[in-house]
Amino acid sequence: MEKGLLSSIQSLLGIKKTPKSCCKDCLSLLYTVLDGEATEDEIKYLNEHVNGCSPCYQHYHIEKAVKELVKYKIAKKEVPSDLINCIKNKLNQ
Amino acid sequence: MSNDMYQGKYGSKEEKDKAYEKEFMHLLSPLYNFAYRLTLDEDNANDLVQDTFLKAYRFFESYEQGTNAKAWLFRILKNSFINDYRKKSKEPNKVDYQDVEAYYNSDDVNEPITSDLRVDSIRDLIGDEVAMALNSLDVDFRTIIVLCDIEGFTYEEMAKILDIPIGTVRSRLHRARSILKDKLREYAGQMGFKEKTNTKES
Repeated sequence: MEKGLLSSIQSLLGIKKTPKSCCKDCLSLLYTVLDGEATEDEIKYLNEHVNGCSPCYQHYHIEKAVKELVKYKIAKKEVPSDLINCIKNKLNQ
Repeated sequence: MSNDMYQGKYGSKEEKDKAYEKEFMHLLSPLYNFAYRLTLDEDNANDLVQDTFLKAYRFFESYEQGTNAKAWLFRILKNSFINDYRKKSKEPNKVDYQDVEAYYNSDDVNEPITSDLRVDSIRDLIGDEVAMALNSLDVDFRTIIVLCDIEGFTYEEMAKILDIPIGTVRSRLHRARSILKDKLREYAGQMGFKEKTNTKES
């Protein structure tokens, strides 16, 4: 909580802080978790860490939001109606 | 090829065609979407998908049924794109991604500080903005994001589709997301000047 308050004050003052070594390692771990590639131990470690580390908490939710944004907001292109017939015709040539 | 000339492992051409349709035809939509994200052009995407299905048919004897059909087709499509389309597709300011990867892998580059990108402003972005941000990425970065975040391939599948080691999958994904966030930040920043509620898609 203290860390969260400190980081809020710092961001209000426009001070750019970040415990870089911590966050750099965590960023690749949190990708591993978000991409469904992590082991149970890694998931457990990240969950515990994220709850106590404000920059990582923030990072985690930003990365998750970006991933969901790409997955759900980009409209699917509709397949041209004649494409399947074109393929079938070519296969039968 | 006429039926009596058929000498493959499927008994007859009909059986081969039936097996082929069952394995691959339901993948038309993800393939077309992948082709579109690579070429950014509907006609080229159309041609690329047709080429992919023809090649898949030609190599179907070497495909083992029930294995990863989607990854197999995506790999063929990606190879066709590199061989046939990459040269003619529109790639403004094309950069060599190896240079980009080398640059981002160097220790001089710090992770961008994301405190100015907020979850709320990310969620307020509309689909077109996200698509534009994605489309503006170099094709190799765009590809890895599509494979991972839209199609949900595993790191191992992506390594096979792209013919790169898993370590490179991870690092490329890392760089791609970092650049994508920069682009999204631009759009999120632009939104801050407008009436948010008017531009929001319900």
